[in-house]
Amino acid sequence: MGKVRITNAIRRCRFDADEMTQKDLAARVGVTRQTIVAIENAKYSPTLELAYLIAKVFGKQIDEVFFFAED
Amino acid sequence: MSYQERNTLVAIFVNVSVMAGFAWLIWTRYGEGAFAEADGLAIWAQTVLWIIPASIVATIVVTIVFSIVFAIATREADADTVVDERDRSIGIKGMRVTMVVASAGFIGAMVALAVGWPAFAAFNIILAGFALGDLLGSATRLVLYRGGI
Repeated sequence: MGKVRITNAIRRCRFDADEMTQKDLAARVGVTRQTIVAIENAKYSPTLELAYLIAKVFGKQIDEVFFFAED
Repeated sequence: MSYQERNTLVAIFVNVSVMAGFAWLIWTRYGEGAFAEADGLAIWAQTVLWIIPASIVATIVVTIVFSIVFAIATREADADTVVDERDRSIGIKGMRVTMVVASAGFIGAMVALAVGWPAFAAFNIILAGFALGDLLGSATRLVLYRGGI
């Protein structure tokens, strides 16, 4: 089994949500802006709970925001 | 730079400063023969007990000063003081490094005692293990904040 990485479409979702800022998203899910930056840049994989919260902010299902990529 | 990242930098700065001061103090007193007497370990322990509150006060003062300087430099008055799951995850990894190094210091002290080194040296090895562990734990957190988990 190769290295598994969770990728995401948060940047596109923020764009679609009227250019929601990272700071606004962070405040709505209760994390720091740096954590949102780390998730967007694939430097941190969020917990399932946080992933659900982020998807919920954009009114999407979790698999529409986060993707399971195996390389 | 996040609030927790700044606190990690402050911890490294205070750790290095306090331990350098402590090492200088111990070395000077050692040169004067303060630990050669029967109550040498008691004097050493009293010095350590003074170092603990001194490092706590130093951490508080440096944290406040650093926050003020950072706020002035970045013009960000509303520092994000939230501690989230990423901070906790990084903290746990840093703590693991601290515990491993501190444990190695303890084992090193036991080995030193076993081969006939004096108790004074063993206690210093234990303390150095804690100090080095704290430093490496903070450095680990800083690397993980910068490079990602």
